[in-house]
Amino acid sequence: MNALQVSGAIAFITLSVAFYLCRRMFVFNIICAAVIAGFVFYLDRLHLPFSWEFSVLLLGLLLCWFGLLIVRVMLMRSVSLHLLLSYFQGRPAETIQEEVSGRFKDALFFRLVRQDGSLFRLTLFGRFIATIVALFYFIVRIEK
Amino acid sequence: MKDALVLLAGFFLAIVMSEILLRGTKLQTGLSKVLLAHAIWFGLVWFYMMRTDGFGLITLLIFWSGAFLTWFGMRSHVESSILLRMLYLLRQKPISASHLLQEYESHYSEGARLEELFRGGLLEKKAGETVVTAKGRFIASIASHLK
Repeated sequence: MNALQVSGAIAFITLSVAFYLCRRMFVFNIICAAVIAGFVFYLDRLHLPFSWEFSVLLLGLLLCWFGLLIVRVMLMRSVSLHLLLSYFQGRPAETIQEEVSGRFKDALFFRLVRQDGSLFRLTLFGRFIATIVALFYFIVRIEK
Repeated sequence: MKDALVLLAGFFLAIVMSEILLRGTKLQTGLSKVLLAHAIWFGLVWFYMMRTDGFGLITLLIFWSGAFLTWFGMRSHVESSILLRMLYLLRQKPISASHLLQEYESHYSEGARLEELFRGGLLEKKAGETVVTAKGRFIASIASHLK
């Protein structure tokens, strides 16, 4: 193992430990940014010649950061996971109705929809996201 | 540069193979097939790198872990997200909250989610009662630790 791989492995392990220890996303993001910046500065100081391996490692670490963030969001919001946990812990889960009404608030907060009387209508931003979602559903063959 | 392209192509092919194996089913239902597809393509890329003296195993593992986490998280989130499903339904026409809930439930009710957990081997029926399987307990204990 060379210095590049050792420092990459240390950064990767630090990100994983940070994910386990930090429940607050803000703190987790700060740590990840610091670790990846540290990784780049350390290698820069070694004056190594450019290598694609460095680029791939850096991309991998950035993807780890982003991927762990999504996993954290899933852990907090996944309805199916909450349903499983409710059986596991023997407590009642939130109903779908409660979850959906919570998402209405989110959609309004993120300006994805606006309310016209009793009707909900997509904003321009919401329409853009909905088009991407429709494309994704088509690609991965999710039933409509 | 060739090594980087081979790595990206290998990962892309792992995703394509996963999608073929999933055949439109949920990620949680076919997770073992997805892991198998990624293991096969990771092995092939690693074999190529060893033969050509390309990227080391650590580099491959870090890249693949990050890319897999991102793909897994995004796919799983988009396929199950209530918010995104709502946006998708609203794309056709503006609708009321009650109608939206009705539309959503007709597609993906609590019963359908439970069925998905049964199909994924996370829940099972024992003496008429719904219980968590060993696999379900394993996933639930990890999730409750990380939440």
